[in-house]
Amino acid sequence: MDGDCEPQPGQAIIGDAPRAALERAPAVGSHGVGARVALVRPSHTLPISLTGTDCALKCAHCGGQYLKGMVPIDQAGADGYTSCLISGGCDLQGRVPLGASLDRLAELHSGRLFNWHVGLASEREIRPILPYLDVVSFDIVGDDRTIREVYGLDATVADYKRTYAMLRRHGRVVPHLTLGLYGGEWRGEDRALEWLADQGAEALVLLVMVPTPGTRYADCCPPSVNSVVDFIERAGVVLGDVPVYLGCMRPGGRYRQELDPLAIAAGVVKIVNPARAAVEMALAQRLSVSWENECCVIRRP
Amino acid sequence: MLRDPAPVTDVLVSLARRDDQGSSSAVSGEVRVSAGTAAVLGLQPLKQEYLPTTAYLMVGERCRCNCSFCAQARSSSAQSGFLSRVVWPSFAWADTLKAISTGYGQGLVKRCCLQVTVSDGYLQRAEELVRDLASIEGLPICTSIAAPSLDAIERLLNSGAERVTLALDAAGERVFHAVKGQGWARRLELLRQAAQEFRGRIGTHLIVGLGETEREMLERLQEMVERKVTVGLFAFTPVAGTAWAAHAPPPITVYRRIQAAWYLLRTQRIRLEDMVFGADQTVTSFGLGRAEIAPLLADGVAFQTAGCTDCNRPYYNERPGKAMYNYPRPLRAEEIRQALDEALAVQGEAG
Repeated sequence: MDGDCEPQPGQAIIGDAPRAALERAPAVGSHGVGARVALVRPSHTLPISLTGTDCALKCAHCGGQYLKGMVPIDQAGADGYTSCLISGGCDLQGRVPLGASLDRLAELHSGRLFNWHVGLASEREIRPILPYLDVVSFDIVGDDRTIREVYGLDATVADYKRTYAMLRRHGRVVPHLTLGLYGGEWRGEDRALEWLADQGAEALVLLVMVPTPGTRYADCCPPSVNSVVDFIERAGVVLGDVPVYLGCMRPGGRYRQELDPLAIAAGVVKIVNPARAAVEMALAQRLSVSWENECCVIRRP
Repeated sequence: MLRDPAPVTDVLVSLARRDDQGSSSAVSGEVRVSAGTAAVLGLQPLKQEYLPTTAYLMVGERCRCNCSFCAQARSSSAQSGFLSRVVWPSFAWADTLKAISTGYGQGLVKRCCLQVTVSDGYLQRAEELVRDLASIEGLPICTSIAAPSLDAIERLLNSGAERVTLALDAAGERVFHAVKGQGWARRLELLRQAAQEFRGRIGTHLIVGLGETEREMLERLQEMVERKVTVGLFAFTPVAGTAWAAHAPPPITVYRRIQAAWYLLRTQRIRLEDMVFGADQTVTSFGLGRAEIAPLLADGVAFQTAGCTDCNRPYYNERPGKAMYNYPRPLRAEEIRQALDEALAVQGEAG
């Protein structure tokens, strides 16, 4: 994140609405003393790429950069890991080549849970991986223009809705929504929330666009902390009892330090790689804190 | 280990006082020029893959200080023409000045850096050389010197230095005491005062591998980020003839973790308080997952020589063909992959 995104001296970092959320948080039903919050350091999930660092789509926010931190499937050894994130680059239709390396995936799956990024997969493409599919992390988008311009895909919100419904017929699916995906601007996030409320979800993972070097959005700013906190509060209202998580992909540093405690106050029940400020807040407010060490959507009996 | 009970700062003050009388004539005497610099400036040939983009000069005689790692230390039996693993042949100052002027004009060097040892008249000599160098229009000049006072620093800055570097070398008091002797508190206090008084014009040096913990080093680096102190980061390099000749350089994974964390701290991608340290105070998490960190380090800048702009000091800590602690140039794709693996060896986090 560039220095340009920093508030100017004298400008309030935390606006009135989130501050109020923080102040009233302990009194809110789901977040009173003893309410539960899970803190996650996913050190036991190995991120694996089915395509190495290759990606044909090169979306505006990622540009293939995030594949660099994953282990290529042909080099993956998962000793010491209890789960894997199976991801990879996309073809020009937004599909991850799921059928590749099935033998290796079968070996790795033994004794481990898999969390999948499948992209806009078809039912035919999903079938071969069903034996190894424990949960799908599925990105939802509420705006056709974002799909076109950020992903560069000739697809629409309707395609995402269809794919989401299809995937849910085959297994656990946890929708992920990236706030500010359109270069840091709000576009369609609320519509996405509405159709999730309509279709249902077992949980919603919220992410925040990270301006990443080497991508088209390198010089963009993420949406303001205030606006993200407001959205979390709205999500709680619109989705009712669907738990809201704050996932791994969000800016670090000062942004995370400001966002994380407010996010807990606003109602998230799980937060990945929390800033220390959030850990301290959760303890100070005597929330019931548990620690997890796998991808936030991995569920253990 | 500690041979001199007198605090370093006292020695510096007494030496500095001898400078009070003296002329300001300059273009005389000799100066040591790093072998790479001499090659770039055409003073003498050298076959070397990477050449410096800064002209490095060493000023002064055998140092009065006695740092265990330093070839110029009082008790060191290393050849006098060495600093770290670099050889510094002598040239006439007039010829050197002319060569720097020509080299800067041609874009061969973009900055000049004086490494000043503590010996008789060192402050005055440094000021004279800075004044001479300042006659080369536009040339940024950095002076690395154990200045005894804010006054001395101000004089150097007023003489034309862009930046004055006060080397801490050690991350903290315990290590400073073991490796450099007394005087940590005053050295640190002077650095802090100078950083406040001359904001953005003060630098320091820190050396990884002197016995500090990773946490100690990162806490000091974070402080320097906050105080806008430019840091030249080094890997301890054993030099024959020094007290620490038989000590090992830091493991490359340790150095890479420090480089990565420091880069993420100074670019405000992470905060020190969100990092997680193990029982031995080594980094066990940067506070972000592996998949999130890799893109932030993917341009390899974290692993290039850091400090003043255009300072690349090739082979200062590196043996040709061995581990490149500081890359003197942009990294190749394969080098970035390897450096990332080394930096992230501690954590295999997904998201």
